[in-house]
Amino acid sequence: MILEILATIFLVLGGFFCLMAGIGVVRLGDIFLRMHASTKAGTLGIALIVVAMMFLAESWTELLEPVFVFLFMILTIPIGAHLIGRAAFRTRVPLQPDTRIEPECETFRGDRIEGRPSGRTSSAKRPIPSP
Amino acid sequence: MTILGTETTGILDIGLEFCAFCILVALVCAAWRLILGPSLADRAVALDLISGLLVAFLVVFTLASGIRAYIYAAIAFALIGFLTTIAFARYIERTKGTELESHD
Repeated sequence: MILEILATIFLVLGGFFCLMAGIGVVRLGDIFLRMHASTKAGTLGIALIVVAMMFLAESWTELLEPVFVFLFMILTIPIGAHLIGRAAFRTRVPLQPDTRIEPECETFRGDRIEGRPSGRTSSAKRPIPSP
Repeated sequence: MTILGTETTGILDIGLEFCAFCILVALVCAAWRLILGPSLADRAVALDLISGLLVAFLVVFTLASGIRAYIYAAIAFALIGFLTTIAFARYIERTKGTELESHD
């Protein structure tokens, strides 16, 4: 009974955070702000729901399956968000007027501008060595 | 009228119904951003959120229906969603980004 109440609390909290992630993805005005909503709130909501399933497990094998889901989600969502954020930064996605980039990052941001050699583009044009 | 199709008897079933409702609303929001998103990276973010929310919904449906097969689908979907995100990120990084937006 106590485990059911604990699982219900975790389910309600997880659903709330998932809802916040969805609302944030629609309402926020910039890709990095949207990513902030979807990855942080979304990861917390999914993790809380999976933990609620761990409370209701009746045997060790039933406990192990939510642990796998938990580990996969916790490990993979931040890596995927990092990759999408880096791709958006490099392809110069238009930002909100309020969003400011640090001046040190401008050279990195202008990496794809022609006539400006940099290590990244030159290494991308390097021919692939044959095995 | 229940979302998950099961009768609500205890406090756990009410929590499951609330959680399923919240996840469905979040899925609609993410789909709205997927349709509307001005750039390709916005759509990739929305797809990432949709894959995570689907995993959460599969977990909730496993608890509601008692069918253990759905948790294996959730485990598989977690890995597939990660591969999808990586593939989209590599694709976005290789395109210029500005050329695609001019066509939209």
